[in-house]
Amino acid sequence: MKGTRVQAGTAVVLLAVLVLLAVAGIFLRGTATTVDVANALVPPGPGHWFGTDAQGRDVFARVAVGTSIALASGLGAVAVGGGLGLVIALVCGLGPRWLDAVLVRLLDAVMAFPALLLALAVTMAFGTGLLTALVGVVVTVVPVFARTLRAEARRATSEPFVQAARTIGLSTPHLAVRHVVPYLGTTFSVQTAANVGNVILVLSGLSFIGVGAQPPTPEWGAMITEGLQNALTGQWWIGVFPGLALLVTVVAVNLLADSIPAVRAARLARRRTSRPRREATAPAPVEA
Amino acid sequence: MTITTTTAGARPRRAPALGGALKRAATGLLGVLMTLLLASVVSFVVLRAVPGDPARLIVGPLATPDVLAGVRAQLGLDDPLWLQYLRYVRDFATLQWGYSYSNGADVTAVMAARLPATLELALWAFLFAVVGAVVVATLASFRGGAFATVAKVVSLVGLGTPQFWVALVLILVLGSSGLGVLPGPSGRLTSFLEPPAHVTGLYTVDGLLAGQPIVFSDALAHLALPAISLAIIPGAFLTRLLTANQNDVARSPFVTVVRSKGVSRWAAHRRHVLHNALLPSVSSAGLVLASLITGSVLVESVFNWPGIGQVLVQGIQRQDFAVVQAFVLLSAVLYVAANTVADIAVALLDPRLRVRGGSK
Repeated sequence: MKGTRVQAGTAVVLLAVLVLLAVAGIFLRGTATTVDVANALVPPGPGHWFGTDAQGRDVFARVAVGTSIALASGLGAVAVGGGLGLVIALVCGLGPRWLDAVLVRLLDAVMAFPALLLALAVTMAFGTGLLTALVGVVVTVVPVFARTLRAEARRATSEPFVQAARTIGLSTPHLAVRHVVPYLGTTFSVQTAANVGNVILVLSGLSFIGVGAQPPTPEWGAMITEGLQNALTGQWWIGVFPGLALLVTVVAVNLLADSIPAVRAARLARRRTSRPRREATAPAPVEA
Repeated sequence: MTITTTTAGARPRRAPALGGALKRAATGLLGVLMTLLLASVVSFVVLRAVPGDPARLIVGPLATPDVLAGVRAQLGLDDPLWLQYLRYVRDFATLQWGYSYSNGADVTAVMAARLPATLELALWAFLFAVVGAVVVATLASFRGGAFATVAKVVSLVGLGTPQFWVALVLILVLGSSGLGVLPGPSGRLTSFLEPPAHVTGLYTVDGLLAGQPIVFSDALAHLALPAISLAIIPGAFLTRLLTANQNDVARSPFVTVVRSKGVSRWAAHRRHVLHNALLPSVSSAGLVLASLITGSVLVESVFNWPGIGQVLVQGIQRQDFAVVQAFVLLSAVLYVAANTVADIAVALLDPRLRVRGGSK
């Protein structure tokens, strides 16, 4: 239990630092793309904390802008993909059986592609760029959410409170929104946290191989590609700092995802002991 | 990387009550074929039917309408979609993956020539990942305490690692521009060495077979950094899985019985806990393979490794659509195949699943 608290605390602290960095990034947008050839390839020091790249752009400013890009695009892609996945899950869970069977098969087929390659294919089809890469990543997120939430939605239909709501004549859409969606809350939040890290990794991977955000944009993956060109001549800072930011972000999000179920279970257990009569309506804790 | 989401892959299939193993296998196979068929539809829709015009991608933005029409006709893009789809599946199944104009050869030939390099890299990475994971997970589960905590943190960090960045850091620290212990991004062999006589296409194996220890050690030195970069994510994933499995098994009553018969704690852990924990992890073979495929795409180009991952990245940069198309569908087929083989292997290896008539 103590371990979980330490873990969740670490995640929150790391994420707070990253959010600060992202906010700084919003103000540093101009600096991040200002070319200053006279100060190219300056090593890290007091003037430029993370040094400058081959065109004299400040690496710290670029990493900060990259943070805001990564957090915004990661959360955005998961929100859109998760939302679509939720809708599919509700259709599967509350709709006719045959539709469920068809959709599940289709979701399995989409999940047969490794995320990076599916996202890559979609991105290539629509033309390279950060926005199309986001579309590609959303396509990989939808089946993950739909598949997990569908199982939960199916379970919900056999719960007494859903059956009771059916008995008093609620329409299926009303039932879905008012009773099933809240039931899926915990699973949804765990999935969100678990997917944001992956999404950020895939997005930077796409940019790294040249399909996602294009070079002038200070996106981490694209910056690491640029850093590679300078790595062999000794300018390590250009590629190392963006990757470090990427690593810290993904680890922080994964730590958070890892501790959500335990924290929720603990909170639920406390609530149950203090208000035993509420037990029947409390959502079941999700297994880790 | 889908590797943290354990929901991917073939679902456990519920067998009908009658008919036994044969019928179960048939249903399973049918399900696999269905998934593959749908996967081919998905890849067809994404890569062929969406806005971007494959013919336009091939001829480039400056081509005249005549040339464009010619290529369209040549690719059969004017035919109805269902006909195009059937042709697409037929061509994929018969290994006619089209012409890669950036390589000046058929995609199948390019892939076949580059496959051994990727295979060798992936095999060594797999070896590193499995050995590392078994050792770390067993020690973590057996000893517990601080070691287990460190192992848990390290594997969590490992799961979130961008492989291409680790590759860069490894080159900087250990490669030619750092400590110089291992060669930097310079392909599979030092340039003055001749590749060993072709037997398997794997330089380490062929070097040993040809009795050339220098070739073997040089090939291994070139392999080390890319294989380590590639092994991190599957290694971290397997470490977590094996630790959790062993902790579960260690708590089961039969271990207490074994211990009460006078078997030492270590012997009980190694003989009984570890063995029982290894089996379920076989079913994650598909995820491990997927991470190796994805990783090879991201890592090979960093190390100038002449494998199929590099072919893909170069294909993307040169807008060589045939390469991308073949690679994407191939990855799905391999993933589904790995899952199926793993399912069968687990069913064969685990006596508890050998119940006739199917258990629930």
